Amino acid sequence: MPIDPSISDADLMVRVQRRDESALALLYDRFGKAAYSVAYHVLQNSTLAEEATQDAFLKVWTQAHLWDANRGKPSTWLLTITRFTAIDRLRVENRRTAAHAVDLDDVLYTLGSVAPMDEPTWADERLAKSLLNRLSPEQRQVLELAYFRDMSHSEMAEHLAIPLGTIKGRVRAALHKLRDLWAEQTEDSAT
Amino acid sequence: MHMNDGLDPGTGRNGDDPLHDDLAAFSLGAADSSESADIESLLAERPDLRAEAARFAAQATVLLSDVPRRQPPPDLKARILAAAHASHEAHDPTSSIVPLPQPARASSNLRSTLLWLTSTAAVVLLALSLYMFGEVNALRSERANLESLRSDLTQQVNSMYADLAMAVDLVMQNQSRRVELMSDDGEMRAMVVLQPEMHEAVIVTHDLPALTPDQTYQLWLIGPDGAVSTGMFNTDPEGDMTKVFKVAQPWDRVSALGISVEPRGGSDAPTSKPLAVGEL
Repeated sequence: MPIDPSISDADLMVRVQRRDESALALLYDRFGKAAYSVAYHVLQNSTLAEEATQDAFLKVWTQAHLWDANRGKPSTWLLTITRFTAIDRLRVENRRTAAHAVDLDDVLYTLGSVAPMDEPTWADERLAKSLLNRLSPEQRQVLELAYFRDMSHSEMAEHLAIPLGTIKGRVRAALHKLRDLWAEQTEDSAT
Repeated sequence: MHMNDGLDPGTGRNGDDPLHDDLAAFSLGAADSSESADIESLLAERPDLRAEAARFAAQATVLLSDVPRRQPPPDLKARILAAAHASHEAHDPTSSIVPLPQPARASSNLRSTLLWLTSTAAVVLLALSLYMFGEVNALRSERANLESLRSDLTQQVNSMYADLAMAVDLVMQNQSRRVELMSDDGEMRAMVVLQPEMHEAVIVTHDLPALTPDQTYQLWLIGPDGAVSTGMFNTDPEGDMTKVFKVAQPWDRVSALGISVEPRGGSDAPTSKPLAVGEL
Protein backbone atom coordinates (compact mmCIF):
# COMPACT_ATOMS: atom_id res chain seq x y z
CA MET A 1 0.00 0.00 0.00
CA PRO A 2 1.50 3.38 -1.01
CA ILE A 3 2.56 5.67 1.80
CA ASP A 4 0.96 9.04 2.21
CA PRO A 5 3.89 11.47 1.89
CA SER A 6 2.42 13.50 4.73
CA ILE A 7 2.65 10.58 7.14
CA SER A 8 4.08 11.54 10.52
CA ASP A 9 7.58 10.44 11.48
CA ALA A 10 6.20 8.26 14.25
CA ASP A 11 3.73 6.51 11.94
CA LEU A 12 6.53 6.10 9.43
CA MET A 13 8.60 4.30 12.04
CA VAL A 14 5.66 2.00 12.76
CA ARG A 15 5.69 1.09 9.05
CA VAL A 16 9.43 0.46 9.28
CA GLN A 17 8.80 -1.80 12.26
CA ARG A 18 6.44 -3.76 10.01
CA ARG A 19 9.31 -4.27 7.56
CA ASP A 20 7.89 -1.91 4.95
CA GLU A 21 10.78 -1.12 2.63
CA SER A 22 8.99 1.86 1.10
CA ALA A 23 8.79 3.32 4.62
CA LEU A 24 12.53 2.92 5.00
CA ALA A 25 12.97 4.71 1.67
CA LEU A 26 10.83 7.61 2.88
CA LEU A 27 12.71 7.66 6.19
CA TYR A 28 15.92 8.04 4.20
CA ASP A 29 14.37 10.81 2.10
CA ARG A 30 13.57 12.70 5.28
CA PHE A 31 16.68 12.09 7.35
CA GLY A 32 19.31 10.60 5.05
CA LYS A 33 21.03 13.93 4.52
CA ALA A 34 21.04 14.73 8.23
CA ALA A 35 22.39 11.27 9.07
CA TYR A 36 25.11 11.50 6.45
CA SER A 37 26.02 14.96 7.72
CA VAL A 38 26.37 13.69 11.29
CA ALA A 39 28.48 10.75 10.12
CA TYR A 40 30.68 13.03 8.04
CA HIS A 41 31.04 15.49 10.90
CA VAL A 42 32.40 12.70 13.08
CA LEU A 43 34.54 10.93 10.51
CA GLN A 44 35.60 13.79 8.22
CA ASN A 45 35.77 11.33 5.34
CA SER A 46 33.09 10.82 2.71
CA THR A 47 33.69 7.10 2.15
CA LEU A 48 33.63 6.30 5.85
CA ALA A 49 30.60 8.54 6.30
CA GLU A 50 28.72 6.63 3.59
CA GLU A 51 29.53 3.34 5.26
CA ALA A 52 28.52 4.60 8.68
CA THR A 53 25.27 6.02 7.34
CA GLN A 54 24.47 2.74 5.65
CA ASP A 55 25.28 0.81 8.82
CA ALA A 56 23.11 3.16 10.87
CA PHE A 57 20.10 2.76 8.58
CA LEU A 58 20.56 -1.00 8.62
CA LYS A 59 20.59 -0.91 12.41
CA VAL A 60 17.38 1.09 12.32
CA TRP A 61 15.94 -1.44 9.88
CA THR A 62 16.95 -4.54 11.81
CA GLN A 63 16.36 -3.06 15.28
CA ALA A 64 13.29 -0.98 14.52
CA HIS A 65 11.33 -2.85 17.18
CA LEU A 66 13.54 -1.19 19.81
CA TRP A 67 12.20 2.25 18.94
CA ASP A 68 9.46 3.38 21.28
CA ALA A 69 7.31 6.39 20.48
CA ASN A 70 7.26 7.27 24.17
CA ARG A 71 11.02 7.60 24.21
CA GLY A 72 11.55 10.17 21.55
CA LYS A 73 11.31 11.22 17.96
CA PRO A 74 12.49 8.87 15.22
CA SER A 75 14.86 11.54 13.91
CA THR A 76 16.65 11.85 17.25
CA TRP A 77 16.83 8.10 17.61
CA LEU A 78 18.17 7.70 14.09
CA LEU A 79 20.73 10.49 14.39
CA THR A 80 21.87 9.23 17.79
CA ILE A 81 22.41 5.77 16.34
CA THR A 82 24.24 7.36 13.41
CA ARG A 83 26.51 9.30 15.73
CA PHE A 84 27.30 6.21 17.79
CA THR A 85 27.90 4.14 14.66
CA ALA A 86 30.22 6.80 13.27
CA ILE A 87 32.16 7.02 16.52
CA ASP A 88 32.50 3.24 16.61
CA ARG A 89 33.92 3.47 13.10
CA LEU A 90 36.20 6.32 14.14
CA ARG A 91 37.61 4.13 16.89
CA VAL A 92 38.27 1.34 14.41
CA GLU A 93 39.96 3.72 12.00
CA ASN A 94 42.08 5.22 14.75
CA ARG A 95 42.82 1.74 16.09
CA ARG A 96 41.92 3.01 19.49
CA THR A 97 41.94 0.59 22.30
CA ALA A 98 39.38 0.60 25.01
CA ALA A 99 41.69 2.59 27.27
CA HIS A 100 39.07 5.25 27.65
CA ALA A 101 36.46 4.17 25.19
CA VAL A 102 33.08 3.78 26.77
CA ASP A 103 30.76 1.26 25.16
CA LEU A 104 28.35 3.61 23.46
CA ASP A 105 25.66 0.98 23.31
CA ASP A 106 25.87 0.84 27.08
CA VAL A 107 25.30 4.57 27.29
CA LEU A 108 22.42 4.45 24.84
CA TYR A 109 20.89 1.52 26.64
CA THR A 110 21.24 3.04 30.08
CA LEU A 111 19.93 6.45 29.17
CA GLY A 112 17.41 5.45 26.58
CA SER A 113 15.61 3.17 28.97
CA VAL A 114 14.76 5.79 31.54
CA ALA A 115 13.57 8.88 29.75
CA PRO A 116 12.72 10.27 26.37
CA MET A 117 15.81 10.73 24.26
CA ASP A 118 14.72 14.14 23.11
CA GLU A 119 13.35 15.91 26.10
CA PRO A 120 13.19 18.79 25.44
CA THR A 121 12.14 18.35 21.84
CA TRP A 122 14.50 20.05 19.42
CA ALA A 123 11.92 20.31 16.72
CA ASP A 124 13.04 23.68 15.55
CA GLU A 125 16.51 23.53 14.11
CA ARG A 126 16.88 27.30 14.08
CA LEU A 127 15.90 27.45 17.72
CA ALA A 128 18.48 24.81 18.56
CA LYS A 129 21.15 26.79 16.75
CA SER A 130 20.19 29.97 18.53
CA LEU A 131 20.49 28.23 21.89
CA LEU A 132 23.89 26.82 20.99
CA ASN A 133 25.02 30.27 19.94
CA ARG A 134 24.35 31.48 23.46
CA LEU A 135 26.88 29.09 24.92
CA SER A 136 30.37 30.39 25.42
CA PRO A 137 32.98 29.30 22.85
CA GLU A 138 34.67 27.26 25.57
CA GLN A 139 31.46 25.41 26.36
CA ARG A 140 30.72 24.69 22.73
CA GLN A 141 34.28 23.50 22.25
CA VAL A 142 34.11 20.84 24.97
CA LEU A 143 30.71 19.66 23.82
CA GLU A 144 32.00 19.37 20.28
CA LEU A 145 35.10 17.44 21.36
CA ALA A 146 33.12 15.10 23.58
CA TYR A 147 30.17 14.57 21.29
CA PHE A 148 31.75 14.38 17.87
CA ARG A 149 35.46 13.75 18.41
CA ASP A 150 35.01 10.97 20.94
CA MET A 151 37.30 12.62 23.44
CA SER A 152 37.12 11.67 27.08
CA HIS A 153 37.55 14.07 29.97
CA SER A 154 41.21 13.18 30.22
CA GLU A 155 41.87 13.55 26.52
CA MET A 156 40.17 16.93 26.41
CA ALA A 157 42.20 18.09 29.37
CA GLU A 158 45.38 17.04 27.62
CA HIS A 159 44.29 18.39 24.25
CA LEU A 160 43.30 21.79 25.63
CA ALA A 161 45.96 21.89 28.35
CA ILE A 162 43.29 22.61 30.94
CA PRO A 163 42.89 20.97 34.35
CA LEU A 164 40.70 17.88 34.34
CA GLY A 165 38.28 19.27 36.87
CA THR A 166 37.78 22.38 34.79
CA ILE A 167 36.92 20.27 31.78
CA LYS A 168 34.40 18.25 33.77
CA GLY A 169 32.74 21.32 35.18
CA ARG A 170 32.69 22.97 31.78
CA VAL A 171 30.91 20.03 30.15
CA ARG A 172 28.30 19.90 32.90
CA ALA A 173 27.85 23.65 32.92
CA ALA A 174 27.32 23.64 29.16
CA LEU A 175 24.58 21.06 29.45
CA HIS A 176 22.96 22.88 32.36
CA LYS A 177 23.02 26.13 30.44
CA LEU A 178 21.33 24.45 27.48
CA ARG A 179 18.63 23.24 29.83
CA ASP A 180 18.18 26.68 31.35
CA LEU A 181 18.02 28.32 27.95
CA TRP A 182 15.46 25.84 26.82
CA ALA A 183 13.33 26.39 29.91
CA GLU A 184 13.59 30.12 29.37
CA GLN A 185 12.53 29.73 25.77
CA THR A 186 9.62 27.53 26.74
CA GLU A 187 8.42 30.04 29.31
CA ASP A 188 8.69 32.88 26.78
CA SER A 189 6.64 30.88 24.32
CA ALA A 190 4.01 30.15 26.97
CA THR A 191 3.60 33.80 27.86
CA MET B 1 35.30 9.08 40.50
CA HIS B 2 37.51 12.08 40.06
CA MET B 3 37.12 15.02 42.32
CA ASN B 4 36.67 18.39 40.74
CA ASP B 5 40.05 20.10 40.82
CA GLY B 6 39.32 23.53 39.47
CA LEU B 7 36.98 26.43 38.83
CA ASP B 8 35.98 27.58 35.38
CA PRO B 9 35.09 31.26 35.44
CA GLY B 10 33.79 31.06 31.91
CA THR B 11 30.92 28.78 32.88
CA GLY B 12 29.53 30.89 35.67
CA ARG B 13 29.48 27.81 37.91
CA ASN B 14 31.91 26.74 40.53
CA GLY B 15 31.93 23.16 39.28
CA ASP B 16 31.87 21.79 42.78
CA ASP B 17 29.77 18.77 41.91
CA PRO B 18 31.94 15.87 40.83
CA LEU B 19 29.06 13.43 40.73
CA HIS B 20 27.10 15.46 38.23
CA ASP B 21 30.25 16.28 36.31
CA ASP B 22 30.80 12.61 35.72
CA LEU B 23 27.14 12.07 34.93
CA ALA B 24 27.32 14.76 32.27
CA ALA B 25 30.41 13.21 30.73
CA PHE B 26 28.89 9.74 30.83
CA SER B 27 25.78 10.96 29.05
CA LEU B 28 27.95 12.21 26.19
CA GLY B 29 30.09 9.07 26.11
CA ALA B 30 33.03 11.15 27.32
CA ALA B 31 33.63 9.52 30.67
CA ASP B 32 36.90 7.71 31.11
CA SER B 33 36.42 3.97 31.22
CA SER B 34 37.48 3.83 34.86
CA GLU B 35 34.73 6.35 35.68
CA SER B 36 32.13 4.62 33.57
CA ALA B 37 32.11 1.42 35.58
CA ASP B 38 31.47 3.40 38.76
CA ILE B 39 28.76 5.48 37.11
CA GLU B 40 26.98 2.47 35.71
CA SER B 41 26.92 0.85 39.13
CA LEU B 42 25.55 4.01 40.63
CA LEU B 43 22.90 4.44 37.96
CA ALA B 44 21.74 0.89 38.52
CA GLU B 45 20.84 1.86 42.09
CA ARG B 46 19.68 5.46 41.63
CA PRO B 47 16.74 6.07 39.30
CA ASP B 48 16.97 9.80 39.99
CA LEU B 49 20.53 9.90 38.69
CA ARG B 50 19.59 7.83 35.66
CA ALA B 51 16.89 10.37 34.85
CA GLU B 52 19.39 13.19 35.29
CA ALA B 53 21.91 11.52 32.99
CA ALA B 54 19.18 10.90 30.43
CA ARG B 55 18.28 14.58 30.53
CA PHE B 56 21.91 15.48 29.92
CA ALA B 57 21.96 13.15 26.93
CA ALA B 58 18.71 14.62 25.64
CA GLN B 59 20.09 18.15 25.91
CA ALA B 60 23.19 17.12 24.03
CA THR B 61 21.14 15.98 21.06
CA VAL B 62 20.74 19.62 20.17
CA LEU B 63 24.28 19.35 18.83
CA LEU B 64 22.96 17.04 16.10
CA SER B 65 20.95 19.96 14.76
CA ASP B 66 24.01 22.14 14.45
CA VAL B 67 26.04 19.86 12.21
CA PRO B 68 26.88 21.43 8.84
CA ARG B 69 24.72 19.79 6.21
CA ARG B 70 26.39 17.77 3.47
CA GLN B 71 24.77 16.13 0.48
CA PRO B 72 25.15 12.34 0.49
CA PRO B 73 26.05 10.59 -2.77
CA PRO B 74 23.01 9.93 -4.99
CA ASP B 75 23.41 6.15 -4.91
CA LEU B 76 23.60 5.83 -1.13
CA LYS B 77 19.84 5.44 -0.80
CA ALA B 78 19.79 2.59 -3.33
CA ARG B 79 22.65 0.84 -1.55
CA ILE B 80 20.90 1.10 1.80
CA LEU B 81 17.62 -0.18 0.40
CA ALA B 82 19.37 -3.06 -1.37
CA ALA B 83 21.13 -4.05 1.84
CA ALA B 84 17.88 -3.75 3.78
CA HIS B 85 16.11 -5.87 1.20
CA ALA B 86 18.79 -8.54 1.44
CA SER B 87 18.49 -8.39 5.21
CA HIS B 88 14.71 -8.66 4.95
CA GLU B 89 14.97 -11.72 2.74
CA ALA B 90 17.15 -13.39 5.32
CA HIS B 91 14.67 -12.82 8.12
CA ASP B 92 11.49 -14.57 9.00
CA PRO B 93 8.99 -11.79 8.36
CA THR B 94 6.68 -12.95 11.10
CA SER B 95 9.32 -13.12 13.78
CA SER B 96 10.94 -9.83 12.84
CA ILE B 97 7.98 -7.73 13.90
CA VAL B 98 7.71 -9.26 17.32
CA PRO B 99 9.32 -6.89 19.83
CA LEU B 100 12.23 -8.54 21.50
CA PRO B 101 12.49 -8.36 25.25
CA GLN B 102 15.04 -5.87 26.52
CA PRO B 103 18.24 -7.78 27.08
CA ALA B 104 19.72 -7.98 30.52
CA ARG B 105 22.05 -5.14 31.34
CA ALA B 106 25.03 -7.46 31.48
CA SER B 107 24.46 -8.51 27.88
CA SER B 108 24.93 -5.10 26.31
CA ASN B 109 28.21 -6.11 24.75
CA LEU B 110 26.42 -9.07 23.25
CA ARG B 111 23.79 -6.69 21.91
CA SER B 112 26.51 -4.62 20.34
CA THR B 113 28.03 -7.68 18.79
CA LEU B 114 24.65 -8.86 17.53
CA LEU B 115 23.98 -5.46 15.99
CA TRP B 116 27.32 -5.58 14.25
CA LEU B 117 26.76 -9.13 13.13
CA THR B 118 23.30 -8.31 11.82
CA SER B 119 24.44 -5.35 9.79
CA THR B 120 27.53 -7.17 8.58
CA ALA B 121 25.43 -10.20 7.69
CA ALA B 122 23.12 -7.97 5.68
CA VAL B 123 26.02 -6.60 3.66
CA VAL B 124 27.52 -10.05 3.20
CA LEU B 125 24.14 -11.40 2.20
CA LEU B 126 23.73 -8.65 -0.36
CA ALA B 127 27.14 -9.41 -1.86
CA LEU B 128 26.35 -13.12 -1.79
CA SER B 129 23.00 -12.51 -3.46
CA LEU B 130 24.60 -10.51 -6.25
CA TYR B 131 27.24 -13.21 -6.68
CA MET B 132 24.62 -15.97 -6.68
CA PHE B 133 22.48 -14.01 -9.14
CA GLY B 134 25.42 -13.92 -11.54
CA GLU B 135 26.19 -17.58 -10.93
CA VAL B 136 22.58 -18.62 -11.49
CA ASN B 137 22.45 -16.68 -14.75
CA ALA B 138 25.70 -18.31 -15.88
CA LEU B 139 24.33 -21.74 -14.97
CA ARG B 140 21.09 -21.02 -16.83
CA SER B 141 23.06 -20.00 -19.90
CA GLU B 142 25.24 -23.10 -19.62
CA ARG B 143 22.17 -25.28 -19.19
CA ALA B 144 20.63 -23.76 -22.35
CA ASN B 145 23.83 -24.51 -24.25
CA LEU B 146 23.86 -28.06 -22.95
CA GLU B 147 20.20 -28.51 -23.90
CA SER B 148 20.98 -27.32 -27.42
CA LEU B 149 23.99 -29.62 -27.64
CA ARG B 150 21.93 -32.54 -26.35
CA SER B 151 19.27 -31.86 -28.98
CA ASP B 152 21.91 -31.74 -31.75
CA LEU B 153 23.52 -34.95 -30.55
CA THR B 154 20.14 -36.68 -30.35
CA GLN B 155 19.42 -35.69 -33.93
CA GLN B 156 22.82 -36.92 -35.05
CA VAL B 157 22.45 -40.22 -33.23
CA ASN B 158 18.95 -40.75 -34.65
CA SER B 159 20.27 -39.96 -38.11
CA MET B 160 23.14 -42.40 -37.61
CA TYR B 161 20.76 -45.13 -36.46
CA ALA B 162 18.57 -44.53 -39.50
CA ASP B 163 21.59 -44.64 -41.81
CA LEU B 164 22.89 -47.79 -40.18
CA ALA B 165 19.51 -49.46 -40.42
CA MET B 166 19.29 -48.50 -44.05
CA ALA B 167 22.89 -49.63 -44.63
CA VAL B 168 22.21 -53.00 -43.03
CA ASP B 169 19.07 -53.36 -45.05
CA LEU B 170 20.91 -52.55 -48.28
CA VAL B 171 23.87 -54.80 -47.52
CA MET B 172 21.61 -57.68 -46.61
CA GLN B 173 19.77 -57.48 -49.92
CA ASN B 174 20.76 -60.28 -52.33
CA GLN B 175 20.81 -57.89 -55.27
CA SER B 176 23.02 -55.33 -53.60
CA ARG B 177 26.18 -54.21 -55.34
CA ARG B 178 29.41 -52.94 -53.89
CA VAL B 179 31.40 -50.28 -55.66
CA GLU B 180 34.93 -49.60 -54.43
CA LEU B 181 36.19 -46.05 -54.89
CA MET B 182 39.96 -46.02 -55.32
CA SER B 183 42.44 -43.20 -55.12
CA ASP B 184 45.27 -42.69 -57.61
CA ASP B 185 47.66 -44.60 -55.37
CA GLY B 186 45.43 -47.68 -55.55
CA GLU B 187 44.08 -47.43 -52.03
CA MET B 188 40.40 -48.02 -51.45
CA ARG B 189 39.04 -44.84 -49.92
CA ALA B 190 35.35 -45.64 -49.93
CA MET B 191 32.77 -48.27 -50.74
CA VAL B 192 29.25 -47.62 -51.97
CA VAL B 193 26.60 -50.28 -51.46
CA LEU B 194 23.56 -49.88 -53.63
CA GLN B 195 20.48 -51.83 -54.58
CA PRO B 196 19.50 -51.26 -58.22
CA GLU B 197 15.80 -51.27 -57.41
CA MET B 198 16.14 -48.71 -54.66
CA HIS B 199 16.82 -45.01 -54.68
CA GLU B 200 19.19 -45.11 -51.72
CA ALA B 201 22.84 -46.01 -51.43
CA VAL B 202 25.24 -46.33 -48.56
CA ILE B 203 28.73 -44.92 -48.66
CA VAL B 204 31.37 -46.02 -46.18
CA THR B 205 34.65 -44.12 -46.21
CA HIS B 206 37.99 -45.02 -44.73
CA ASP B 207 41.06 -42.95 -44.00
CA LEU B 208 40.07 -39.97 -46.08
CA PRO B 209 42.38 -36.95 -45.64
CA ALA B 210 41.33 -34.31 -43.11
CA LEU B 211 39.62 -31.26 -44.57
CA THR B 212 40.03 -27.62 -43.65
CA PRO B 213 36.99 -25.89 -42.13
CA ASP B 214 36.14 -24.26 -45.45
CA GLN B 215 36.03 -27.59 -47.35
CA THR B 216 33.61 -30.49 -47.76
CA TYR B 217 33.53 -33.83 -49.53
CA GLN B 218 31.01 -34.23 -52.35
CA LEU B 219 29.81 -37.49 -53.93
CA TRP B 220 29.13 -37.47 -57.66
CA LEU B 221 27.13 -39.79 -59.89
CA ILE B 222 28.88 -39.81 -63.25
CA GLY B 223 26.92 -40.67 -66.43
CA PRO B 224 26.14 -39.46 -69.95
CA ASP B 225 24.94 -36.16 -68.55
CA GLY B 226 28.20 -35.58 -66.75
CA ALA B 227 28.68 -35.45 -62.96
CA VAL B 228 25.56 -35.00 -60.85
CA SER B 229 25.89 -34.26 -57.17
CA THR B 230 24.23 -36.66 -54.78
CA GLY B 231 25.28 -35.03 -51.53
CA MET B 232 28.01 -33.69 -49.30
CA PHE B 233 29.64 -35.25 -46.28
CA ASN B 234 32.41 -34.92 -43.77
CA THR B 235 34.26 -37.61 -41.89
CA ASP B 236 35.43 -38.14 -38.35
CA PRO B 237 39.05 -37.27 -37.48
CA GLU B 238 40.18 -40.69 -38.72
CA GLY B 239 38.59 -40.09 -42.12
CA ASP B 240 35.81 -42.64 -41.53
CA MET B 241 32.09 -42.14 -42.15
CA THR B 242 28.93 -44.06 -43.04
CA LYS B 243 26.04 -42.28 -44.72
CA VAL B 244 22.93 -43.03 -46.75
CA PHE B 245 22.34 -41.03 -49.92
CA LYS B 246 19.18 -40.48 -51.85
CA VAL B 247 19.67 -41.17 -55.55
CA ALA B 248 17.37 -39.26 -57.85
CA GLN B 249 18.28 -40.83 -61.18
CA PRO B 250 18.07 -44.48 -62.30
CA TRP B 251 21.21 -46.51 -61.65
CA ASP B 252 21.37 -47.58 -65.25
CA ARG B 253 22.29 -43.99 -66.15
CA VAL B 254 25.22 -44.04 -63.73
CA SER B 255 28.55 -45.35 -64.97
CA ALA B 256 30.81 -44.32 -62.12
CA LEU B 257 30.92 -42.72 -58.68
CA GLY B 258 33.45 -40.12 -57.62
CA ILE B 259 34.41 -38.16 -54.50
CA SER B 260 35.94 -34.71 -54.76
CA VAL B 261 36.95 -32.02 -52.30
CA GLU B 262 34.80 -28.92 -52.77
CA PRO B 263 34.40 -25.57 -51.11
CA ARG B 264 32.14 -25.61 -48.07
CA GLY B 265 28.54 -25.55 -49.23
CA GLY B 266 29.26 -27.71 -52.23
CA SER B 267 29.59 -27.11 -55.98
CA ASP B 268 27.30 -27.60 -59.00
CA ALA B 269 30.07 -29.53 -60.72
CA PRO B 270 33.41 -30.91 -59.50
CA THR B 271 35.99 -28.16 -59.18
CA SER B 272 38.93 -30.41 -58.37
CA LYS B 273 40.34 -33.71 -59.51
CA PRO B 274 38.37 -36.60 -57.92
CA LEU B 275 39.97 -37.97 -54.80
CA ALA B 276 38.57 -41.45 -55.43
CA VAL B 277 36.62 -43.01 -58.29
CA GLY B 278 34.80 -46.31 -58.74
CA GLU B 279 33.10 -47.71 -61.80
CA LEU B 280 29.80 -49.54 -61.65
